[in-house]
Amino acid sequence: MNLTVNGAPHIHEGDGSLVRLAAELGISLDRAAVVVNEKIVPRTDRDAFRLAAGDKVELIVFAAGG
Amino acid sequence: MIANDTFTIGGHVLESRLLLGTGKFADRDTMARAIEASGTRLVTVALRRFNPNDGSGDLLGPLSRIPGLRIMPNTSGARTADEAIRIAQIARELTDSPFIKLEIHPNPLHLMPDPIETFEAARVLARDGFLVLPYMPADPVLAKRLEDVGCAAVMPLGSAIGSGQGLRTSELIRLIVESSRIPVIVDAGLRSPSEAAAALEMGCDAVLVNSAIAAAEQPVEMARAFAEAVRAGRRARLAGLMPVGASASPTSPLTSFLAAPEPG
Repeated sequence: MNLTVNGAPHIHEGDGSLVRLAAELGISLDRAAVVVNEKIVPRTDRDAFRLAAGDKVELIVFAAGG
Repeated sequence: MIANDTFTIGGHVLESRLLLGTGKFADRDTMARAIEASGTRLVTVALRRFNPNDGSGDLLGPLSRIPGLRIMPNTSGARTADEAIRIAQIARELTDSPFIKLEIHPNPLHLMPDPIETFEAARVLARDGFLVLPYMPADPVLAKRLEDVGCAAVMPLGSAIGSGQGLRTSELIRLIVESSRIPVIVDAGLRSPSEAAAALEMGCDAVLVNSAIAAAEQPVEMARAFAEAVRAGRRARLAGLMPVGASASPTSPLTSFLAAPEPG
């Protein structure tokens, strides 16, 4: 499935679950906020959420800042 | 009385009046040691896209190992109220922390906060349950307006972000302190611990420091110095500074026993 993840093309091999996508990218979902097609996916909805081809995914994390 | 001196933001008691930013440190280990040395209980963090190549997902790791530390996400990168609100909503997915440092600075040249967008975002976020701490120009009118819309504290700038120009706005900050019913935290521009002490002496509740510590030659030592300065400034505030006099006032008796004895 072709996705855009954080602005770059990404081929997702899994079932469209966010956990699988996070594993592909090497990040724990505990440490990321997920935005799909500009809509925030709340923590409570993550398990049931399924990505579709062409989705634009943003994975946002905390970074150093003042 | 200084031993148990705490202050409260939106019902949350903080045991330190020194808030730290996590930017600009040479490495994560130095950052963590400086945070511990500072005794701070509240640190700011930014939000960024995850990049698998720079370890940017790991900031929560070192921070979560420091006991009693709370996190305050910031909205840096926002140029409008809508962008800041969006960042705050995303931040809420990442942490249970109710704190949000609202910063909206559209011009990278000077990073001065946009008062109009800041006010609008503060109003929306406060209504939405955030504890909003806006980075703002040192403007007593705006400070009052931000208080009125439910901000948990106001954070007037001492001088431009990261400039190290110090407490250039002290007279305006004094006016904000006089009329504010919410905590006043000097954010941005401080360079030396004495400036932090001065802010506390004039009645500010806390200071937020980042570059002054992170860009010091020895950040961990500088963190300790700021912690001591903040305590000294607060202690001085509580002790009550002497009034400023119009002219000299002797500290020793001016009896003239060295004068030549009267003849006879």
